[in-house]
Amino acid sequence: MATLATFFKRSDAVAVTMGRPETIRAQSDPFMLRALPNDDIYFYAKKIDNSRVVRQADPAAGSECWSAVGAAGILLLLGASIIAPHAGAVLEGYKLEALRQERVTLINERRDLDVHEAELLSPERLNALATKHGLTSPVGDQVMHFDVPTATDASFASNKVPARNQSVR
Amino acid sequence: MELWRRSGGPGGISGSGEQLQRSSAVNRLTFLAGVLLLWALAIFGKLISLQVMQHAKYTAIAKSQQEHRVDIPAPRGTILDRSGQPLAISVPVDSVSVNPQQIASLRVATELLGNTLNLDQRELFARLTWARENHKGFMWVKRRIDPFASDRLKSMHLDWVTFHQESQRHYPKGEVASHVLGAVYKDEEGAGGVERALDKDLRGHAGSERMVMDVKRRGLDSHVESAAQAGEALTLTIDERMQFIAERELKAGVERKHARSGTAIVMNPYNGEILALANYPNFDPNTPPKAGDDPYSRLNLGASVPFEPGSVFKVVTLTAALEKTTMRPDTLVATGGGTLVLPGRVVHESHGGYGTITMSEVLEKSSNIGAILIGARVGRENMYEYARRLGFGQKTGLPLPAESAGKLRPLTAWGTTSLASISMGQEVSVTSVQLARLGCVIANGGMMVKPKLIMKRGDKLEATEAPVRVIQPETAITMRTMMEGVVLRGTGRVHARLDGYTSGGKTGTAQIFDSVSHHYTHNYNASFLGFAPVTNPALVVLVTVHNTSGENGQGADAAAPVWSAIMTEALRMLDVRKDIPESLIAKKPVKVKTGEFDGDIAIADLGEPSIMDGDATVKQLLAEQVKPAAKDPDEIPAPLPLLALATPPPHVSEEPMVPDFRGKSMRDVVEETSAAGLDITIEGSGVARAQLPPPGAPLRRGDKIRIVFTR
Repeated sequence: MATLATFFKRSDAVAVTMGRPETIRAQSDPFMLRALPNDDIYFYAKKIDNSRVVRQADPAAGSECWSAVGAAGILLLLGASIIAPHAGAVLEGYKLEALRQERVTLINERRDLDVHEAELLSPERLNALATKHGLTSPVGDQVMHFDVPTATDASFASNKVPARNQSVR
Repeated sequence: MELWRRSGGPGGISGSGEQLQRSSAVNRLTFLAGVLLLWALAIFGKLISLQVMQHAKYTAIAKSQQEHRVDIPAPRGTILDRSGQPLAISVPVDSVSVNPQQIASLRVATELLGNTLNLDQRELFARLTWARENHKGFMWVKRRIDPFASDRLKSMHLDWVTFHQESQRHYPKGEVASHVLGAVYKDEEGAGGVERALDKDLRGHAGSERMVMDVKRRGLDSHVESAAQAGEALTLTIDERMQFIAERELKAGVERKHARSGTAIVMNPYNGEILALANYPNFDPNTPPKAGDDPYSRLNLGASVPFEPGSVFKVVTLTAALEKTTMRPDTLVATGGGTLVLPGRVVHESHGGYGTITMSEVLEKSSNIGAILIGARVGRENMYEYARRLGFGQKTGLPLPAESAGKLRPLTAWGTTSLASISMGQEVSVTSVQLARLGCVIANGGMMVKPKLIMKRGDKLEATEAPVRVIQPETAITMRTMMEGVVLRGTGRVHARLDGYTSGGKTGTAQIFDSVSHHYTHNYNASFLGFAPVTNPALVVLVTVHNTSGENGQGADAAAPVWSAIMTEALRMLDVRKDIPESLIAKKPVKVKTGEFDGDIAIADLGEPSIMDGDATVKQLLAEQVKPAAKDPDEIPAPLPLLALATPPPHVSEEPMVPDFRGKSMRDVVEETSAAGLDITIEGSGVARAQLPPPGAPLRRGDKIRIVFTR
């Protein structure tokens, strides 16, 4: 079914619609409003029976269609291949700059932490803490060093024990 | 639905009407096409105008909107100690500026900024008002604010506030090594110490980049315009722990003696590395100098301020004597009754007379007359040559600003008694670094080393200058033995002995010259120069305490205890093996009678003008108050302490005696003691050096003999 639009020229319509003189007169009445654009167009439904229309097989249409699709795809790919690197570069640029900024922040934080660590390890602070906990530098005799027996002292090595003092009879 | 336009009505269309209609449509289409063409041409023309004709202009505008110049910070180089601990480090901080023209309400702005940045609001308001009235578009509010204030201010999102990243020098160890490090001015320009001397290396050069930003100010891309060049990191030879110990002990020593100032230097005698260079008073480099601060607190006394060394300089005299004369340590020197007549004047030994003593004893007792007589044997030319050869009168080359060369007059300027004066350490001015270097020459076997303060620049090791032989090794070893005698039997025996280590050294007490009255005072520069252990010295330490007074203000009493404390800790830190057991050292304090060490004082006022006269740096130092000194010349020296190593007790019993194992190898000792059935305790390795009980002592049943071996 289809809807057909039909319009008439007023001159033609006069001839056709002779039985409606009042209307013509009425339109020529200067006190009447002018007709709206497309006022003379009207629609009506016309039933069209396409059931008898049989589509004729076109063996080339499929391939043409696929060719068009392929060409469009290739064009799309070409376009994408041109645009994608730029878009990718922009996105990667965002990431890169964010990472750079993060790197700078981390470096700054590391320097702050270095300072903080150095302050905590300050000998003056450690000394104060040690004093607070009753720790003092070792006095004489508290630290003893022992030599590792050398090759020339091999016979003596067996007698050497990891003790504070070594006794040999 | 389909739209059908028909020229006729449902009944049919006339032919002339159709033609008319077609021509009308063609006209309209032609008109439309023409309009579109014009439109396209207009667009194309505009594009040409924008993209070609005004390309540069719009590119510049676009760049200014999209691109921003960002500074790439180049922090000042970090200064590290030899173990990698940061001593000076630059950290990024924010500085705050405002555009006064954009501030809606100056009062609100003042309150916000004043409270956040802890500023005087009245002053800030006046500044803002002035800047606005004078149409200033930029005004620093506060530079280098702390991170907490920065975060608070950033969270306020104030449009008229701008943050600038700057760098701030931080000294995390506070006062430790402050004189070595120095400080920086506001713009991180070196203001002293290594910071100033090596400013060019430490200072970085900031770079810049252009950053492309989107509308949300997010970075898209960046192009480096000029690369940043960070400052070079410097690794010093300083050991922060040793430095701290030196500063702590020096401070205690100076305060104990109510002295004016002091210096302590710890050096590696073999490569000249300075492990600690402490001065007192010191300062906190984090704090800028203020009016009323002690001006000497920022003066590197050890390198910049020369002084007359006093008896320490006798080391030079005796070294020259060993090399240039036939004198040996046991050569007798007739010092007489304590009086020496020189051309035009008479010199008195400050403490009586020592009679005829050996050259070793001249050093041990620090006999001035003995030194003068030995100096006379050496001669003027040789004395001058050796003083020069041992580094006096010339800079050491330390990378520190305003290093002094000291003063050693040329021979032509020497007076009649200059040789006598210089022989005992007067008429010559030296720095503490020069004296420490002298100690290195004796300790390392006669090689002159260049003091070294920089171990690494960046990752590159700083080359060590090859030492130069200046005295024969035999001379150095003889001097070491003689200086050990000072510690064992001489002026250093009370305070300079170490638990577990042999040591050698020399005390020095020089009267301070008063530049106002042009006379020597009874205030002293007390020094002790020493090394340990004697056989294979690991360290040289010099301690100088300035402006002491009285009997207890002399080198043996003021400087030696500080030296002993620093050396003991330093040897322990370096894990230097002990070469004698502590039990062999007399633990009881040696009783010394008052005035015993008066002989350590170098006699001044020999008639020659002081070498310190006219020294601008020292004049200020010497202008300090002068206190009268009291001394009792009639005091008798205390008896020498009984040392197992040096003086074994005489044998009087018939009991079996302890054999003498000294000088024997470990194998020989073990075999001998096994054969004799003796019970021994062995420590160390190598050759037997000491034993307890000492050789010849009575041996009782069950006694253990403790033997110390060293290489």
